[in-house]
Amino acid sequence: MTEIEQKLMQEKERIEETKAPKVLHERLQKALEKESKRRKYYMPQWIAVAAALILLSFVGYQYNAFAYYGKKMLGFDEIMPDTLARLHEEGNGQTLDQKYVFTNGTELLLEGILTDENQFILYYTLSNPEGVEDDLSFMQLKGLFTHSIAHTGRATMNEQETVLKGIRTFDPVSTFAKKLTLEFQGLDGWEEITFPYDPRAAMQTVLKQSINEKVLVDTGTIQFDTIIATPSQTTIKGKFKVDNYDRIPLGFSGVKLLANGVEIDQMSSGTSSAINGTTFTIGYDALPKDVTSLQLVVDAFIGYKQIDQTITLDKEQTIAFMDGEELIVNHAEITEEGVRLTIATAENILLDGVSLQVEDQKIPLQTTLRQDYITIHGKEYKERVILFDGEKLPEALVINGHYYAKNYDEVIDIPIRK
Amino acid sequence: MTVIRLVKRAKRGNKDALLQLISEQQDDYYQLALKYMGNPHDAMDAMEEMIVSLYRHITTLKQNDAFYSWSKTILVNQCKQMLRKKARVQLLEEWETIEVPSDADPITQSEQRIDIEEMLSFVNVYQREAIELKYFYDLDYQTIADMTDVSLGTAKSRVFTGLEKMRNRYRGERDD
Repeated sequence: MTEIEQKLMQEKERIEETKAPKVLHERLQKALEKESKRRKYYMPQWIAVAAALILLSFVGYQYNAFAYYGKKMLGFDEIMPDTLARLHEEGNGQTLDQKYVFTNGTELLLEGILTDENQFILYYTLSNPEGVEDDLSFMQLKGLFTHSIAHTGRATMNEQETVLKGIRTFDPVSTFAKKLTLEFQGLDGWEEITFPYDPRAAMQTVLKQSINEKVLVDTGTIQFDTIIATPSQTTIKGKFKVDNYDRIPLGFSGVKLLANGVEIDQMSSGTSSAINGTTFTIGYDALPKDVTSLQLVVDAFIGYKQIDQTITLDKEQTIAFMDGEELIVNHAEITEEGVRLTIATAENILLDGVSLQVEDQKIPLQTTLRQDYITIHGKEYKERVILFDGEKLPEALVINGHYYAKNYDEVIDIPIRK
Repeated sequence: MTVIRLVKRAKRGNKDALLQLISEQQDDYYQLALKYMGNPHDAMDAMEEMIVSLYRHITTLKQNDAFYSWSKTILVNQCKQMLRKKARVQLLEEWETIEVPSDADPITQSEQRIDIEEMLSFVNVYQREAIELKYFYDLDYQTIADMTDVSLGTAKSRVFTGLEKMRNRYRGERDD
């Protein structure tokens, strides 16, 4: 060992004597506690879908709902939503019993499927006495006129980590497909299994009709096109053109579906841009059996309010109200990069046209440095640090307007045509 | 329990498993964070950020046995991000002009430490970082490459060239 290396070694030994402070463990634990539990839902695997499905929209699912179900699948209770559990109880699935064995000995068993016009649901089991590594990654289902992308899933593992039970949803498959090929991630590359499919075993659509209603919101319009209710799900589709729609996290979560006056749980919502505008899909739970009335309610959606408010900054902390919405402005500080201001509002508020007033001059907002969620007196706020050019303390903060979660309370009645 | 088993549990959202993984090498993480952040307060902040980030992203870790190098890389990135935020435009070039940390207290610093500081001041800031990660923190070249965002070859050559420079200078000083 050279002298240099010896010296380096000695320094290493010195560094190794540094012990982490005792409080560290507790701090790490607390930091983790604050993190909400990771949900078992996986993010949808969005992949561009070719526009090959147009033809299919002319062909409905005109099949009788028949019980096709022989074997009862065990072990899925924990991950099965109530609606699916009930459908299984009633015997609406198809058993598959298709096997694939990976080179490491793990066996994939496709146990069964539950299908309708809204979605394709796969039940599978991974098992290996030596231990199951991880859940599988699914890509898509292919078949005649079928190109169904995998979406969300849930899975659960036994204590010994030898058996994993999972559910994965896919886009619905075509009524013409008699064979389906499932693509999934193997140990080295994509693998596939092809299995027979009986489209007649798909559950019958309960209700499918157009809505054709527009709702005007402050910064655009939402057009509701169709509703498709199947035994497993209810889907509302449409197009929208709303400026800055994605600037607050609200999305479509404030659009409610009422059946017989009772709100149906929203399960998912998604948007995708295409050449002819942006489309959206909102998924709700299945409708109750005896629906007599259906209503869509745009309860909350992004709104814009012009306020042109000037907030004088002469205190350590200023609490202002912009048309009833609270805005907390903390002291401004001058840094090397400019003037920094810490402000906090409710989560769904986005300020627009923000500037500082310094000696009769208006300095526009340069950038937002960071954003955090904080709790003050049990209330949750979105706090951000914003930066302006300049080196003088401002007299006031000027705000032209703000985006917010606005209550529209627009009700659309969907007449039931059966 | 083995690391791999703990990683698998952590991947399924088990917070205790993740905490246990970190605890087992807690001092190593801390020493690394301290190197970058310079004080215990910021080092612990960086580790808090790290553990949250690990929890959110652990499902993306492909090789379970690579947990430690992966998580340390995330820690280093976290530290660098925080430093950048703290002192936005402190470019690496500027660092080079700083020979010895100004807060180094000559009374508490041992002779040997000054020696090392002197030796390390002969190499540029990138070489110094690579040498420190390799010799003080026991990291392999691939991890160093990941942490410093360069290729494996560059990481190796920084260490070798840096050591070479130190050797030459050291010898030179002696001969003078």
